[in-house]
Amino acid sequence: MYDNMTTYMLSDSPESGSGSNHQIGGGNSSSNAPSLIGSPRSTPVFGNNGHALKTNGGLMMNGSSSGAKEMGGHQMWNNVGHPQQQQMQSPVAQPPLPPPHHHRNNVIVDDREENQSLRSDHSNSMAGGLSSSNRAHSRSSRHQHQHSNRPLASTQSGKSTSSGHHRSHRSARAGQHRDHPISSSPMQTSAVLGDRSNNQHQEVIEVQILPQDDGWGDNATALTGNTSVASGSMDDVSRLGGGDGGRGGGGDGGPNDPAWSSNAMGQFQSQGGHLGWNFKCQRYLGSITAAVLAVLAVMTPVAMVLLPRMQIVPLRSEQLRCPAECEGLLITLTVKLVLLVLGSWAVFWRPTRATMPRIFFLRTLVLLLVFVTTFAYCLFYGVRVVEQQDQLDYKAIVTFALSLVDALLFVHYAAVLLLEIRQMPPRYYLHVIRSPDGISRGYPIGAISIQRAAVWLLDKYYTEFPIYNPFLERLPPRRSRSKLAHSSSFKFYDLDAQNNHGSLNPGNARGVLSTTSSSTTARRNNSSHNERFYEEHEYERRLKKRRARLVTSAEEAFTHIRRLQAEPGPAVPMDPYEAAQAIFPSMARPLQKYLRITRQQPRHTVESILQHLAICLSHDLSARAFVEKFLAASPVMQNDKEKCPIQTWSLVCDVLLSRGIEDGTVFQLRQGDVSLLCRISNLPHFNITEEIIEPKSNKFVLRLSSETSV
Amino acid sequence: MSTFFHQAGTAMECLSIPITLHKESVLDHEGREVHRCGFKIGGGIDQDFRKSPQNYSDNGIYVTEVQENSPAAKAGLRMNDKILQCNGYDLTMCTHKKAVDYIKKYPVLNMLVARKGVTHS
Repeated sequence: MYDNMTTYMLSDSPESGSGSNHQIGGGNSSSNAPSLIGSPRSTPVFGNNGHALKTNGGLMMNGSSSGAKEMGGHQMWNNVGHPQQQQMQSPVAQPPLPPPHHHRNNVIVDDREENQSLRSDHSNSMAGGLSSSNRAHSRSSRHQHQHSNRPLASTQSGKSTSSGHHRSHRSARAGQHRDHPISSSPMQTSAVLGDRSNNQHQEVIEVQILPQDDGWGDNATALTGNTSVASGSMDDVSRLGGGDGGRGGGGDGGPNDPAWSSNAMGQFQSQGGHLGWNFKCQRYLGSITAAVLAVLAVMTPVAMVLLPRMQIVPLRSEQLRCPAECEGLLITLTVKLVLLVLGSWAVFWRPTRATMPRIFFLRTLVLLLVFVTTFAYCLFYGVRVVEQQDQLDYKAIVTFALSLVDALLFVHYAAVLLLEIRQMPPRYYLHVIRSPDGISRGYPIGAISIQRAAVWLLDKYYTEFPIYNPFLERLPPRRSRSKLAHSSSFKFYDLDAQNNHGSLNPGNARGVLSTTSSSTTARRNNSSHNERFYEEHEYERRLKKRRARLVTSAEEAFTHIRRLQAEPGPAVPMDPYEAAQAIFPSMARPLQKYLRITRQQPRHTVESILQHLAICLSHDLSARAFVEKFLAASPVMQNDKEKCPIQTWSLVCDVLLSRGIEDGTVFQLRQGDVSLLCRISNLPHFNITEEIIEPKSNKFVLRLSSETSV
Repeated sequence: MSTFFHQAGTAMECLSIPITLHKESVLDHEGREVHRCGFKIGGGIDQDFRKSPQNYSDNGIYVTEVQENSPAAKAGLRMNDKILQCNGYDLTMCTHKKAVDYIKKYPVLNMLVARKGVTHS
């Protein structure tokens, strides 16, 4: 890497930019950009005036372009530490000098190259886009460094000769460089030789100490904890956490109600295996908060009533007398409390369905109401009890507690409405498309927030969508197609795409390959649609054949088994699992072939098949019922592998997630390969008009075609 | 008797009632002016008389309905009359459509009609 060069530049930190800054080597000491080395072009040093500069570095381009004909080196020098400075100076670029002058300078200074242990990395920055000046700078351009802002040493120590040539070039052009302050990078020094006023033959010997980077050619483009491309690392896992902390808990009296507290999910834990304490915390924090609040709210009236009785609030005994109405009120209080608790339990006590990234607005609102109500009542209670102890009357206290319970009941009612009822009547139409295989569904949905809509949709997804089989993306190719395949497709390596992720995702790789290869084949081969059609046709045929074989063999196998009491002759009694094991081998082969053609083998292990068979036998199911598990590929929940306790999906949306869904909202749920794109549109307003048909006009006459009215 | 059991194409001789019908001009539902007779006909050699609801007995042209106060009623046409001839056209051996055409052709119809119980016993 060019960065590694240690270049020695004698010059000091910058003074005014006299023209003849002889900049050699360089490169920002500060930046240590991992570099992709531009291809060094090995054109000869001299006499290459016509070679156009190809500039790659943007900043360097700006800076160096100012120099017009002047030596790239000058700009480079400025570029080294201060690209901006460079750019500012570009307007004051010096006019280009006539070529002979350059040549002359070149010749003159050639001799000096041995004297200086200067390296040149001017070229890179020089490369500035000026074609006019490029002739002289052509050499420099070759070694231009694309990705770093600093000029790089174009040569290593071994190539001193060429660098010497470079130096000579630069020194030649040094003369034209006026008003060019030398950058003030601490690592660079420049010494100006000769008379400053005379721009022609000034030379500035610049020495710069570049940090050695011994990772020559070994640069990693990303720093991760990975040891291999296909693995994850603990760094990634430690990125968990953050998020909004637990928002309010469940509904009014509901401890465990939908506690959709905030979430902090990394993308790679699709099965929740790596979820740390952060997630658990946030998952339960919401519901625990709600539970605590609810319990407090319920206990408050009880406490209000009991405190005087227990003499915590000192009241005289006559105040504590409780006549009939007071007792009636106490009973009402109890009944209402019981109803409140029962109602809350019925509606809100349930395990949290989802952990959501943003605040669950409605639930928070409800909890806030509860809190405010309880707090206000407590406050008033405290004030009254403390201030007016003498005038207090137990009946008043009971009435007060009763009014609190009433208020809580109404808040509970509001909570039920807000959280449950509001989203029930359908207002929007939600259309879902699953990405890799294009399955789509539509559902009516009510007015809820985007994140809750996502949760609702996932419920539907797991119970209605067919199983996604990634191996079925490409149909199993026929053997005869292999020849075609070789001729019509070519290998496609896409380095950039795979380096984007920290780890190589085989699904993504396949996605890239398949899309690119299919598009290329489509372009290259006009009859690719034909191929696809015949391929699919063939596949369907083979599938049907194997399915037929499977069903027949299963039915045959099932006839061998009879229930114990039905079997007259000598028989060995077996329990269902053994019976399953007994008849399984006869249908193992067709089953295996069928699973293979539908690419389902990873989903079904022998053990699970035997278990399933045992259950079918013990419940007297028919052979077709047993086989159904393998034939029907839906819904997603049927896949045993999907039945894990936590599933992680990431939600992508332009709009804030706690806003409600509107017409035109689009959001996407992703998990690994699978992505669900959802679109919302309004359900139309229906205009129902009444059409009256008079019963008198509801009479009929027989009209035969053989009659004509004249 | 053979009047109402006539085989189309065979010769027949029978008594008949001459009816002269003057059509009236009315505007039809679209506003055009038409000549209206006010009766309906059915039958024809292309029809099947066995399927007729009025139980006609041959393939002749029969009057299936006469509207009230229509020119047909005023001219003396009655339901179930068999039209033998219209303006010189022989209606015992023509198709239904042809019969309609003949009838609609002229504003005045001179018809010869056979009526059960009147022209024959």
